[in-house]
Amino acid sequence: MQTILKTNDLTKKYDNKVVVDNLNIEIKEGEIFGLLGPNGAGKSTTMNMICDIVKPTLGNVEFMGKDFLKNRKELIGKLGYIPQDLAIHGNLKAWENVELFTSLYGIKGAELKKRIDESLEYVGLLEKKNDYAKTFSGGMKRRLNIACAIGHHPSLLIFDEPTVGIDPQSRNFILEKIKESNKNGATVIYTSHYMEEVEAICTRIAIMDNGKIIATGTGEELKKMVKDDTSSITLEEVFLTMTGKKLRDY
Amino acid sequence: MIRYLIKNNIKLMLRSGTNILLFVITPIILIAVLSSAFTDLMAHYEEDTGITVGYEIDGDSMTEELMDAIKEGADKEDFDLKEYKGADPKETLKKDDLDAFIVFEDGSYTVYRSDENKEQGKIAEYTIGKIYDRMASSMLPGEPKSELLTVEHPDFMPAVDSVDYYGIIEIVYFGWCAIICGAGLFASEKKNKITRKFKVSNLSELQIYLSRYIPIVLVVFLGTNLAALISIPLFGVHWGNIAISMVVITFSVAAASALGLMVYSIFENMAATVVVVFVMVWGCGFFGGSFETYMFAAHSQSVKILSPIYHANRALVELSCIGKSDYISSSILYDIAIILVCSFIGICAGAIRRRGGKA
Repeated sequence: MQTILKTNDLTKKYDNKVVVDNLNIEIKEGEIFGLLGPNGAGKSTTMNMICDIVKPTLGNVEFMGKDFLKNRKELIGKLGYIPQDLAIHGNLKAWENVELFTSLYGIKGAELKKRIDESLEYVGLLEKKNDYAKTFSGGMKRRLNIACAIGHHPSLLIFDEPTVGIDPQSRNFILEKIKESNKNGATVIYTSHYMEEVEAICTRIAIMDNGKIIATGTGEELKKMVKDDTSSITLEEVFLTMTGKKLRDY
Repeated sequence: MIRYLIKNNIKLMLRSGTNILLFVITPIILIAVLSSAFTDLMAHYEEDTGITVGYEIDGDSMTEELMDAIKEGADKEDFDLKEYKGADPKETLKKDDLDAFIVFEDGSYTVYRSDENKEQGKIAEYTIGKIYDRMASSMLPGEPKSELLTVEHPDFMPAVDSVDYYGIIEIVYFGWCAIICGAGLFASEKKNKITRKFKVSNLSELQIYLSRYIPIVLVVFLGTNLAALISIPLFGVHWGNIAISMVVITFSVAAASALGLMVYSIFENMAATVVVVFVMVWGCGFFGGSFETYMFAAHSQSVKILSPIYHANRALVELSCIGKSDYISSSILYDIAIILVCSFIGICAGAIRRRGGKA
């Protein structure tokens, strides 16, 4: 498998505080890469640097074999970012929200209309396309948030905690769709606090703390790092063993 | 690429009831309140504004012959002529509250003017004098009778009506509050962190700026011009040349939007933007005539011309009164300068924020 995304000594400092510290990760094409970490570990800042929302203090991101910042114009359309916040306008209808974000990648006319329906159908909201987003439930808004990020058919999907505050049915639906997207050829980076989710869908998991990757591997490999008998330990226990039980008040 | 962004931003603004309230309904209400208040006030004074002139013919047969024609001429000029016999001119002026008293003598006349109504007295003197001279000269052989009652009127600017004045300046003033139109959009963008998603696209700073600027201008243009059009049948506001007036209002709105967006780009905070823009617009309105009673100018011309609102007000009021104005070009040029400077600063401020990498 080819490397689709690589970070080289990626560092972010705010004043004198190092939030991301010389981060080197490599994600292969076709992977679902899970990024776990306690609050303030640097997950979201890493995602923001990968998407060029935040400029790194040092280091760079290689995407599809090219320096991302130097080839931003060409590469940005191959990236789909699903933020933790619901980046949708409540006073726009579902289809209008998808139209707004999909059109940012130069898609227009009949093709745009096709992609809007396709995206809404994908997240199960086609029947609600003419409803205002503000009338949607939390789960529906999360699904619409995803529809807004996939209309331009990105090669790499970045999900930043996409299942926060939704019911088990909606969560299950989203996880199924992530797996479906991956089967259809998209590489996925997935951050979450829910260990069982990460264990269920991710092909490889990295645990991040204090701006650094402290362990990487499959769920089984991570468990083995803590205990030989992997059946008697959960990923959450692995996580707590590696990052400690001390509260992170940021 | 930004066509869809502009379209959806327009939808967001048009779906906000606040915008319709602010740019259409509020100016209409203010026009109704202010113009009716001043119309009532002026009606009270207008009852006393007719010119009343007393006269006495002092044994001159020629003037007696001319008197019917003089009365006819005075009547056309809206003068009320009252004949007196054996009255003392100065005492009669005071006692009967006359604007002037004329004593016709042998081949001449003497005009007594009231100290209290100096202007009316001067007008009476000028007009009666003109009529009398024409009449007298027409008695000479060969003079054409048709010129008998012509009076020369000096070229002057007609006074603007209170309905027209407030109809115009309120709409211009609210147009300058254009940035409020974007409040709903900015709040939604900020609350939902939508601008972060814009960063994961090829949208340039100029495109982000235009995707906000164009909808604000279009929506406020629609609101203010709709208010202007409604003001015609509702209050009888006379716009003079409605097409040119709309052009002047549109440039005003475009300048106001650029100013507001510049402030928003600097602060990225709607509350701070509203405070700063309101202070600036209030200052421009204060010196630009928006809060003056329409009959009296409170500020010197050299201060007024610094206010873009003054240029727009003056252009539109003159268009309403005389159908033309030298201030149209200065108003539009001033607005274009504001659009260019504020847009440049606004785009630069946005780019600096983006380069700073603030998430």
